[in-house]
Amino acid sequence: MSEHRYILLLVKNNAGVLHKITGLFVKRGINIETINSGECNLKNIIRITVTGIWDEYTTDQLIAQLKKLFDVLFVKELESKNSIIKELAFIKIELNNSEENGCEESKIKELAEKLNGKILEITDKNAIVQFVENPIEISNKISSMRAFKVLEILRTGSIGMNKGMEI
Amino acid sequence: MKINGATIVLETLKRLGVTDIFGYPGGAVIPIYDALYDFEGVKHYLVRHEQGAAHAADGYARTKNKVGVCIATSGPGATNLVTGIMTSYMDSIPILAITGQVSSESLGKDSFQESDICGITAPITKHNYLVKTIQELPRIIREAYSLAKSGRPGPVLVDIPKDIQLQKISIEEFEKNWLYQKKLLDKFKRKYIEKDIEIFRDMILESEKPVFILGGGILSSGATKTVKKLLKRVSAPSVSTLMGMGVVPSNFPGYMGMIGMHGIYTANKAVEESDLVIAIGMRFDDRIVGNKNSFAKNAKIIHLDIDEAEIGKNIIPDFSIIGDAREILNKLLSLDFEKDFSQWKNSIFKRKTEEAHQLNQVSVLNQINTFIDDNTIIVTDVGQHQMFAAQHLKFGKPYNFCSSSGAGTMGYGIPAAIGAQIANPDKKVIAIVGDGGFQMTQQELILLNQYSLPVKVIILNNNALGMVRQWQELFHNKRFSQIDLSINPDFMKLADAYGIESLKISDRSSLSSIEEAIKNNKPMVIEVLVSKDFNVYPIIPPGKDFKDTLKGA
Repeated sequence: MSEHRYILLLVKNNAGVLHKITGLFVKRGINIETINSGECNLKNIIRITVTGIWDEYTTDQLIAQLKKLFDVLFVKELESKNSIIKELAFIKIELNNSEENGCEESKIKELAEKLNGKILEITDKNAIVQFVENPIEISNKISSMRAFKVLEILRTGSIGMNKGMEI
Repeated sequence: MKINGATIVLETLKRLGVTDIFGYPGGAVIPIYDALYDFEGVKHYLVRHEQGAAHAADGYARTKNKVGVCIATSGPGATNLVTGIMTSYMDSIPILAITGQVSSESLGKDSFQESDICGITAPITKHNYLVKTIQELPRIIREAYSLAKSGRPGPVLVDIPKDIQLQKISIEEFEKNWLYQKKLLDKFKRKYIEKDIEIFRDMILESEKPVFILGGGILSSGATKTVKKLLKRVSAPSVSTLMGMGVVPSNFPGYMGMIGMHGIYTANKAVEESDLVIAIGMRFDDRIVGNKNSFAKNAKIIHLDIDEAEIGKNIIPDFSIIGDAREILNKLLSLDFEKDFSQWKNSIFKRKTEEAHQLNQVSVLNQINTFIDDNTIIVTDVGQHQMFAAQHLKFGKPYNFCSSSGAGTMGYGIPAAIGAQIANPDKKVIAIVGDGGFQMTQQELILLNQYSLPVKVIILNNNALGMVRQWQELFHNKRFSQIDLSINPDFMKLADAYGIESLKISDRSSLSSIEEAIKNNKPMVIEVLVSKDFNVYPIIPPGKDFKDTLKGA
């Protein structure tokens, strides 16, 4: 069954490594929803989280093929129930103080607080709100933010870490 | 004393045991060709198109079970290798491709003859490298060479910018970097426990009608002797894929021949009727399987392969063992077990001998059968003749059959035969090609003359693109679209232009003259005129299963 799945990779920090990884998906006509990479605790090793909507066969095939890449050192599927999966989002909204709207600055502060968001910038014209949540929560919160005029949305895509002692 | 990057390339190859390389010079590899000018120990063969270099390296690798090396310049030189690299990739053949690249500071500026060959070949290589410093050059070439051969073999490409070929380091620094080896991570670790071998044995013991499918992995693993021992121990029947031709001799007890779309009818039938399929070093290609829902539907399937990603990719096995074929089968043999499947084997084998042989292309191959021996290597191109060859030719020894199986690359035949002959100077190499494929790489013929390579090129000329014609006849209402090659060049004159002797056979009575022609120690082009409406049978239509086999007339 196709559902949101998360693949964790540890790869050597060599030029072109991301190309080789994404190429494996391209070759099979498989879509990547989000991909994140960055440094980790190991020297010269990059940690990558790839997400997409795939079935079990596709995910198993991808993992088996990824393992074969020379630069790839470790691959596993993160199971959402055993993992912390989070995403970062910025939402920029327009503020329109008027007699009709009232003071939108205070309204957004109130809403952000209620939604567990953080205000990164606020002027009398706009505000940027940050959320760090799991992807479904982020979507819900973005919907709530639509009470205001949304100018920009930025989502980083998911990153994940296994709970417990194991990687 | 200093040594430049270009010489490092050659010196490293030499130390790795490379004696022959195939290539074509150009702007971005001039330093390497300059180093080659008076370099001793590595012989270079000048092909006439880079594709030929890759195929020659491939033919060299297949028939010698050793890494083949090819070299090309940047840009179009490198892209011309691509078809050959892909051919090796599809059949897991170890080749090392070295390409020149524009100078480091010109990278990414759309410089003259620049191409992102690492980007282009990423999906068709095991791994590739863009060399960034001269210090890492010896290590990379060494690593690339072992990588090509290790685990599941395949092509590896090293792209070397021109400035790195020209830079110099001291001999001491070179020696230090040559010795520096990163530990290669074993990407193809065995993944089984002793218990698995016992399960494997028990599944064989519990079966009544087992069939072994022999794949090319047995050849790359060097497991042919072990396989023969196992088959003899249990007297079980076997079949092979196209890549597995030669694992056992054609006359091996219980060997039924090739299976698949154009497989021997009785071989396919054996798989259909079996209750246990033991697939070794093969990947259930769609040309083998046909309809995957009905493939070997009465059988349990055991899949042995070194590549975990192959398990369950095309066919989901009932049981699998991941590891090297020779190692696993030796472990199996070391378990004490006896079983005799000879009754089952004989019952299906009897049917095989009842099959009648047909005329035409087949009669040419039967003629060839009368004189080929363990010292003969057969190289084919791609198409009808390839399937005829796989069906009808008799092989004794492994590594004597060379054919582009997975990729189906037309034009493979002549350059691969050149590579095979250079790898095996004491063997007789016969290239069987069609009139279509021949014209794709005919320029390489000149090498037979230039390097006195006694390759015999047999053109089965049916004045058509036969396999496509056959599909159009069978599946597209005989709408013969763009397959007619009635206007072909005069192959005799063409051979003459290349300074090669030739022979034309247009009737059956003169077929026997092939043997005479092949006996001599000179290159030869032999054209045999055959009928264009002679189809390859049996054929299982694409996506269909065994019961839909078309047997033909």
